[in-house]
Amino acid sequence: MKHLFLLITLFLLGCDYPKDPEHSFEEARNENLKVGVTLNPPFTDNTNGTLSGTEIDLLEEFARKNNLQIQYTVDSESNLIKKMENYDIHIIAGGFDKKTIWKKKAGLSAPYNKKKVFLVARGENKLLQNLERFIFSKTKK
Amino acid sequence: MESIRSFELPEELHKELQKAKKLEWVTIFYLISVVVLMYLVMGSSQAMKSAWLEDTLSLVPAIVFLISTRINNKSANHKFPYGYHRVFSISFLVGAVALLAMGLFLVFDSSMALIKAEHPTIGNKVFFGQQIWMGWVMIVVLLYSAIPAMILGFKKIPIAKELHNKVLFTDAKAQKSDYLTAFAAIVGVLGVGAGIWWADAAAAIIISVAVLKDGIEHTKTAVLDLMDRYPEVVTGKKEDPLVGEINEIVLSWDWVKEAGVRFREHGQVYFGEIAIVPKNEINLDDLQKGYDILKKYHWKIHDFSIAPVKELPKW
Repeated sequence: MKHLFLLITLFLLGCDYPKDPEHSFEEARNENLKVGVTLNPPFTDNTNGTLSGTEIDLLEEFARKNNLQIQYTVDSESNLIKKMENYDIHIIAGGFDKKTIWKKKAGLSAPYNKKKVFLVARGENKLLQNLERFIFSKTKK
Repeated sequence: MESIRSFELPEELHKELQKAKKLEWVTIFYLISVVVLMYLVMGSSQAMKSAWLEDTLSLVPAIVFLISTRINNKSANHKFPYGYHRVFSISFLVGAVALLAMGLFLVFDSSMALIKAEHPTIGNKVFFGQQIWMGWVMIVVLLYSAIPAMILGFKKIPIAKELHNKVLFTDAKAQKSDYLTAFAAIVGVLGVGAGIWWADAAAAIIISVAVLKDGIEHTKTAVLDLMDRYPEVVTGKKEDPLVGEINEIVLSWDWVKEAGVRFREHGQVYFGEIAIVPKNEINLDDLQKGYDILKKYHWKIHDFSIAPVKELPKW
């Protein structure tokens, strides 16, 4: 029994783990990383039709490092959450606090500055893992 | 006061009682550590939540046992002329009802997670500069919640049987089978990692149903005990042969023509009546000798009266 367990564990460690039940990260790779943005300066802002802000910068860097193209959708929080619940959006940026009211409807990333987090589609653990790897590499410095 | 003597237990069982108390203290501290660790790592996993609530609830029997032992040890007095033995039956009922309520809640909660298709998010943390998926940490904690519990359970079962203590027995049995909960939760977490989101909710439902089943069973036992049914051995489902043995002994006395015996459980010990149709006039010395013999026969036969009757009642 114990040996079997060990074998399973080693096997699972070997392949890529955890996976996304709704394949968000694969989708992001093959198509676009779909990012929802709700405007909340200075984290996310819209100046003359171009998105800017600290969180946009972070996501752009994340995308660059993972060879992803970002497709932005700017909308209200509740609309974006609804889309994310249907897995039409992968990540939402908007200066969310780690105690955000959306905690039940969205997964939260690790905070990138002790307080602020990104919302990630629920259960998309591989996408979350990659995003958090990026966040941890930033917070280490 | 540590010196209160357990007046109903024979000498050799005192040691067992002390051992049981010590084990229950160990259980409490161990479970608190489990509950804290589980809470820290559970995230949004429904299976972890169920396992966590189950472990939290398993603190109840240990605490109940320690408190009840203390109360049970008080001797009978004017206000409580039958002593305090029923405290075990009552606390057993309270614990059982708590388990039942928690089982119902968990079954509902876990089913909702499945119906609403909640995909559990399990994130990552950095330990010693290494990013680790929290699923692995959960599995380690679940193993910690299972293996020592099993050992404690195995140690407590024989003691519970000797002490005829249902609270202790239930506690031990639950701990012994705790690995099933942990195993289900581990499979759930591994499933989530493999991209099967419903594995978590499914594992949670399995755990919840197990909790509910225990709750129903224990509540039933507790109520039946309080209803003064025929005493059963702690392992359940079997009448205690002790009552029959008492009947045999009474019938073997040469001044007894017919006899009827009934006993009921008051926690660890039995209370009851023995009705006797005597052959001739009753000799009080014979009666006294009878009391002495039966009192010495077994510590569980704690309090009884021998009633001479013309005709046996329908027990």
